[in-house]
Amino acid sequence: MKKNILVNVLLACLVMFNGACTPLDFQTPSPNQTVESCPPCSNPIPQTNAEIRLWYNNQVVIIPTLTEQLIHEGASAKERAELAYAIRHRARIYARLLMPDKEEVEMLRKRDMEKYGNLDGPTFEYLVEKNRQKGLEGKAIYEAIVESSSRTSAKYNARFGIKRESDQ
Amino acid sequence: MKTEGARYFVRNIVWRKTDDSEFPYVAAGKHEQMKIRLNDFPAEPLYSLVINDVVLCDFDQWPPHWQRKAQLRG
Repeated sequence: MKKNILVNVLLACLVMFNGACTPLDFQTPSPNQTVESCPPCSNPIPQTNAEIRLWYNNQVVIIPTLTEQLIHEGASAKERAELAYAIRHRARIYARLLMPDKEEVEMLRKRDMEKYGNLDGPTFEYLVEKNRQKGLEGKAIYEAIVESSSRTSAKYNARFGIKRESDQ
Repeated sequence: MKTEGARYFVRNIVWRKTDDSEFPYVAAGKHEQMKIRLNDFPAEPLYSLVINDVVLCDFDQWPPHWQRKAQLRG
């Protein structure tokens, strides 16, 4: 119970300090939710994909601060990982809800389904298993999820053996 | 959009849809094989332009000069 109160307080801080249009209750949106049903706020709704990505980055940038705060509150590594995952995952879903081109959204969902077995990206359980397969155990699994939740991929190209022009 | 990709963005390119969710569009140039890679948006830019297996640049907005054609069936 104490943990739930703490998480809600931290999420409220996220909404207040982030300066972006953030769903107030931070619940997973329903499949029928539209941009128009986003709670009204004084911040403009991002219109383009570039603006949406900036909005998303503004959501996840606060994860290290929040998880650090949770350490001081005595939260376990798993609790911190769950919070970090929830912020990132829901920001991902809302970002795609904001995208103006629904065909692009469907392409992303198809990609996520083939890559993660889920239309909305990796589940928490998927990330736990992925880190376990990397050889991590116990607390280290959750610390890895916290760490990965607050960064964007820098090694993406390596997956395909593709080099950047500047690398050559 | 990065400058390396600028000359491609102003070209009229017809992209063909593929079955590959990671590389959903391809186009053939005279001396080059062109692909569009779909990235982990919004954590990453939506698209990357790949020329002869080299990522030329990332971008979020589909260029107005580019045409997307549906996948050929049969």
